[in-house]
Amino acid sequence: MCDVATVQKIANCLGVKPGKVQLNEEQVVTRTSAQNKTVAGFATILESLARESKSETAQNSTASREVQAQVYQWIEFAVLYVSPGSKDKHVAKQLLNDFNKLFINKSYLVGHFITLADLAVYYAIYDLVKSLSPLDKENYLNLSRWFDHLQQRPDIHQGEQLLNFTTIYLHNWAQGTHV
Amino acid sequence: MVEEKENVASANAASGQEPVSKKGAKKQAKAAKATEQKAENAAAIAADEAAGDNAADHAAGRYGLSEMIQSKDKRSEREFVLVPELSQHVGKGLVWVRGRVHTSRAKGKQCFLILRQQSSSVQCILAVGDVISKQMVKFAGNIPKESIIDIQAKPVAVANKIESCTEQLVELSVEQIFVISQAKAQLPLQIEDASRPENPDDAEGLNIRVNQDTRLDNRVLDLRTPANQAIFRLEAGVCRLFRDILTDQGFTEIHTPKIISAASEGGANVFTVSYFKDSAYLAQSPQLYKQMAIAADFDKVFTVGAVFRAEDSNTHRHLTEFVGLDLEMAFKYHYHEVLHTIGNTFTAIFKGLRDKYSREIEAVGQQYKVDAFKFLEPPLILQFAEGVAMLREAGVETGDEEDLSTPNEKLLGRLVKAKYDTDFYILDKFPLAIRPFYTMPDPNNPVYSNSYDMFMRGEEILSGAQRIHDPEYLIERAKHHGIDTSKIAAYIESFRYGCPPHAGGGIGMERVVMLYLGLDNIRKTSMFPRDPKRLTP
Repeated sequence: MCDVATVQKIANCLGVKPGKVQLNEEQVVTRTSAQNKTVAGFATILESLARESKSETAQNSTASREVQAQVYQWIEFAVLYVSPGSKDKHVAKQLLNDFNKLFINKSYLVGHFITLADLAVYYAIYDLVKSLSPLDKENYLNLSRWFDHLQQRPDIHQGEQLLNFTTIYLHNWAQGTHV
Repeated sequence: MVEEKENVASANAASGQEPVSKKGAKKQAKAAKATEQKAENAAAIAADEAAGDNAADHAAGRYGLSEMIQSKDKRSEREFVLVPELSQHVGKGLVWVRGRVHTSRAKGKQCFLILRQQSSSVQCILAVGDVISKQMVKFAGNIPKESIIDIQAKPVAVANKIESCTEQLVELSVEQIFVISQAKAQLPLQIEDASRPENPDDAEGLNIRVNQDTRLDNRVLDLRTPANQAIFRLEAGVCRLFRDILTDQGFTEIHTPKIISAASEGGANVFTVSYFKDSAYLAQSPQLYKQMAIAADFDKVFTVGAVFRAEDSNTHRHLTEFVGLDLEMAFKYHYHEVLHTIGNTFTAIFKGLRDKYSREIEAVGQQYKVDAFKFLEPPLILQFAEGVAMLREAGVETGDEEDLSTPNEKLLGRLVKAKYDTDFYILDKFPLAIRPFYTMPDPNNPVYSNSYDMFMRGEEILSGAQRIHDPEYLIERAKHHGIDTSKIAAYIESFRYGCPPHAGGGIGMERVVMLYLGLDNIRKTSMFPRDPKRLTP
């Protein structure tokens, strides 16, 4: 997840020119901004992008010290746990369950507005959600709802094909036997 | 008191014990008094009991263990009344009732006994008085559960509703009680436990359930629960409606052989039996014989009989032996004549169940969650290609000629339910590649065939098609499927003497009942189920 492509995507999301993004000798992603300042490390890069951005997401992420701290925690979690964990069958299941429980009464990860935290987790978990069957998507109903909500935003899907979540809306009027 | 104490003290001194203090002496006196009282009470109770047992039993002859009924007396003067009809006999004197002891509780001078008859139950009371003796009450309280009893009683109207019985406004005031068949004292399962509904919301309620294997091992007891009584009466209803509806449309019932010489559907899932010096197979479907009956000019036939599939599938919907309801019909020019007949037969069966078996459906609903079955009239018919399109819209990738996997079938069922609000629908024009060799291909499109499947609650219940009735074409299609035509020579031969175009299909009776009621396992709708792991009872 901590690769060039994701950084560029998030930069586009925030409406910021990504600049020169590459991996250094230690395979850590770095970004050289227009002012020729180089920053290394995924979380740090996100923060620097947010500072340059005028988008709603960026504004939200720096709304208060508390929000900033929570956003940073989530980005760290996404990098250290969500992204590698989603590749392991059992950890992935646990992750999906935990997120599903989390989203029962929350629309976003931090506060009631979209922040970098949502972006980071979204991209970290994208491949895993893409591989879920329609039945799985229904089992993780709340997570699917959050994901579908985010992917509808043009700045987030950026022209890519939307993942199909139509069956989660079946839940209300066609439960199905023996599923 | 002082006197006593002194006496005690001197007594102790006399017996060589240590002199006791004032307090100690008081305690000893109290203890002595208590034991004296106890002894007195015990003696009184014993005397009472002895008096009771030895007292003349004024009810002797009105209760007891009946001798084994060997058809000695006709006793035709005794008129028996069914429990559901008791309310009509209130105030009209004594009646006889035979039923099972559901529960029996004796408390002091009264005994409350719940008598159960299939799905009905009524409360019976025995109270010590002129008619009933203490010994009779004791006897009634000790009758083992599930024993069959005859009682003569007066039906009495009650002011307060009796919630625990199906007869809530009547109770029986017992005058005579005889045990006709005594049950073993220790039952492998309690009917009450086996009838308890699943109620995950009720945290306070009793959570004792009987698991499926225990039920199936003791099927005789398990079948007595009200829900099971209702399920199998409903199943009988499905068969009856199938027969009546088809007979009304001019169908003839036939019976096909189950011991056959060649595997009908394909060699894989067939049971072999030894047949004298040879071996034979148990029929996987009556397909071949239905068609032969059509070639023999019976025009419209149906058959109800056993089907044997040696599939090692341990799922909620597979049995190795089940009852097949099959039909086959000759038509004039288009197989849709048959398709609509089958679809309308189903609609008529659903209507018949809804209208004539509502009591049974309700009884099942007391224990299991039953969602009312929704269907359209005329039935919904979708094309296979349309179904695939609906699945793709929902994000499922499936090929144009790919058979529907079970999860896809279920998802399609839900999509259809959401879009058309029906639990029953028909899928027409299946791809030719996934159907058996005797299926007639679609003349307009070589990819598809004149075949159809029908679904209830998203699960397949019928697979049917127009059959190839031309022997040369049949040989061609068999070769195309790589089938050795010498093995099916007899089958092909039956079409050589003129055979009308025909189509048909077959359903599994147990599966239809399971899906109609929305139950979770097919073993609930098979009286004595057979699966790869079960051969008894």
